[in-house]
Amino acid sequence: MLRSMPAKAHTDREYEAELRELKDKLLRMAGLVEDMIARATDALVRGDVEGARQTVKLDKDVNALEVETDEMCLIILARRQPLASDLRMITLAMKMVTDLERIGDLAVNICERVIALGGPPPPSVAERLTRMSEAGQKMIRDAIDGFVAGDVGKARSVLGCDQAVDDGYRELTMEVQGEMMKRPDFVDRGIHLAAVAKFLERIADHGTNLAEMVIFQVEGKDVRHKAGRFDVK
Amino acid sequence: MNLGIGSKLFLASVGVIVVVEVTAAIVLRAEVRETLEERAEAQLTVLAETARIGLETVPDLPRHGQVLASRIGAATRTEIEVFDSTGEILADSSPGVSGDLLTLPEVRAALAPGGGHGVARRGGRILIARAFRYGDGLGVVRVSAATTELTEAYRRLWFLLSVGAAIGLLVAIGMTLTATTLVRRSLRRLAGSAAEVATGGPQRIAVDGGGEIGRVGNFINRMADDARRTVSALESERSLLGSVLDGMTQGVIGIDGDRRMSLVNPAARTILDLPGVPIGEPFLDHVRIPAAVALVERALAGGGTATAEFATPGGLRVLARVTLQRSGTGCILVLDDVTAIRRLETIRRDFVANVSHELRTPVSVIRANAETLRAGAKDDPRFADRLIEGLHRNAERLSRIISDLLDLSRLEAGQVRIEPVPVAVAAAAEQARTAIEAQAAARPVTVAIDVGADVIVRADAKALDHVLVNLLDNAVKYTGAGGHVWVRTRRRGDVVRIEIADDGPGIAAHHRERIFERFYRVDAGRSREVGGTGLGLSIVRHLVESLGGQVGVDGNDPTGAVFWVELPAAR
Repeated sequence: MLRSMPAKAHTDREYEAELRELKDKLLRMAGLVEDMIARATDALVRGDVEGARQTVKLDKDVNALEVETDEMCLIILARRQPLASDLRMITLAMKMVTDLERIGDLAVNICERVIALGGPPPPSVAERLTRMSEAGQKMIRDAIDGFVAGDVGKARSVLGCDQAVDDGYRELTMEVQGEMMKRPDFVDRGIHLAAVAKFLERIADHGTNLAEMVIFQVEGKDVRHKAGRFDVK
Repeated sequence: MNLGIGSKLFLASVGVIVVVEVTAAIVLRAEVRETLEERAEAQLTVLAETARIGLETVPDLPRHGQVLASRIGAATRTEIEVFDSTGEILADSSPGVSGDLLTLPEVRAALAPGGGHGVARRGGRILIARAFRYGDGLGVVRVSAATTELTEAYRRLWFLLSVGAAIGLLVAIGMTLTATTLVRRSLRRLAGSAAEVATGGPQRIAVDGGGEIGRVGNFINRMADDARRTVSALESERSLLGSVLDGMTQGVIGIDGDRRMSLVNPAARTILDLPGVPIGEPFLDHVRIPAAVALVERALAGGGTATAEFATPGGLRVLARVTLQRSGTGCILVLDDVTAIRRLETIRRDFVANVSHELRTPVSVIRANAETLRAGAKDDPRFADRLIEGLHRNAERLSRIISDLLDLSRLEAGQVRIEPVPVAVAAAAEQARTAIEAQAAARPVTVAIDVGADVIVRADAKALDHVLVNLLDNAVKYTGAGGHVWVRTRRRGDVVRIEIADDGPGIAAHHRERIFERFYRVDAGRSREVGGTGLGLSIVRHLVESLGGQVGVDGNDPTGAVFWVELPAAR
């Protein structure tokens, strides 16, 4: 049965396997990164320095996957010279990988601050940070789920979430600043906490990027850099 | 070429017939020719013999010989030549040039000693030579006839044979056609019925007659029955398996060698928050948790049974176990939701640790003080009073802890009887505020009560008092100097919600779930120093729950906590 298959079908099967492996690597990376954010946030809220240290170690795997995935994309581009939607998928995969790697780095940054803080933050601050983190995690999860299912609706829903995170970031910054003014001994910790908030805000931004890429891949429409995106930097 | 069985049978039969007839024809042809020639030869031999006898008895051969030869020759339509042993012709029925007779093989054979007879076939004639006694030596009479008549006869015979063969062939073809048509029809019927059974039509085929075809029909029916039984058995097994999987609380996911999900039960879908029916889709598409992915990968790479525990994005704690399938590639993943168990384990662990600590601290102070007193401090007025004061205080503390523990255990065992009566919340709140007035003033913390006089709940007055005092006391204790505490109520259907809010530092979310546990403290050091047994909130919860209500805590905006108690409203 196999011998009578034309050579092209055989190559198609190999090609399919390569695309599948590429998707797998991307999903594995996304899973690792989602896990890192969750662990970093948990360590932050509990003031768990050891947990933070363990989480930092996970970044090694993320970076290794980034290298592997990039290589795989280049090999497929050179060998298969894909066209149309396949080409879009592969070039976007390379971009998504970059965003995911950046998110992993941000999680590491958060962990470094947790180690510097040495203890849990004030409860209301912890609450805000947790909300921001959960929003960011959901955005990334929905973007990746949308990528997997080709579900543009899911990806679009992500775009609307960024505003809430930005608002949360602003409110938290004000709260921390207020506290720093009231208690000079809080300044050190306040700075770290403000940095963590910034990292979480950027994680959410990366989530938006991922969602935009998914929309572009499915619809062929570029929704990036459109007017109306409120830039809070 | 796709010939049906009928056509094959027909062609084979015709082929055999043709081969047989051709062979027969070839064999016959040779035989017939030989026979005819032999007959001709025999006749000529008789003639030659007759001629010899005649020639030996005729008195004057030279004179009568010629007449004899001519007459016999004419009568028998043969040529007769008579000559002596030197080759001189004595008589010739058709005189003509004869050539050198003595060299001819039949003559030589006739003249050979011990021979007397020679046969030859030459130039379309059969020639018989016979020696006869002539004078003192031999003479030869040669009789010959043309074979053209033979050929004619032969041709006539051949023609008859051919016609016969052709008729025979046609008859054979006709019979074969009939036979094969009959067989083909039966087989076609059988095949048609079998096809109907195979494609799910009538479940049995009509079997006509016995014989081989009938037997085949029966066998097909038997096979169809077997197949039906097997399918039915498989269906009930499948249904049983499906029911088992549906009813399990453990999640089960089957993953094949291609990393695709071959089986997912409802519990698995709930635990991992999977969409509708992900059968056939890649596992990694729907489950990205690194620990789960690694577990499956290790198993599929030949790692055998393994377990792992991880948290899901939905906040559950899951214990996963993977085993390899009995046959083929693929593995089975079994998931247990251990969130509740782990929480209970943590509660128990922390409780044991906390009890030890709570009891140990006052006990060690008592021991230390008693030691010191015994060692001589009892006689030293500077220290004696202070030490005894410390003894007393810690003994009181121990006593309070133990009494609270007993209350709590009685509450938990349902041994405390509570009689709910209508109680006015405003009055109870006022009473509670009075009880903690001193502590509030000391911070200072303002306690404001905003409760309508018409808010009435069904409760036990003493129990409600205990609850409110405890909550207000906590609020005051954990709010900084200059802080505020509010008491207010809200009506929700047939439930009254009493809220005690403060603007202190508040309580982090992951603590809020646990502060009603026995001895659970958010900030162990700080809260022990402000006093309390660590059991207050546990008792509060049990009291409220025995009144048929609920208690909880939320965050306050911008800071602080809101403890709420919901009790049934009194009609």
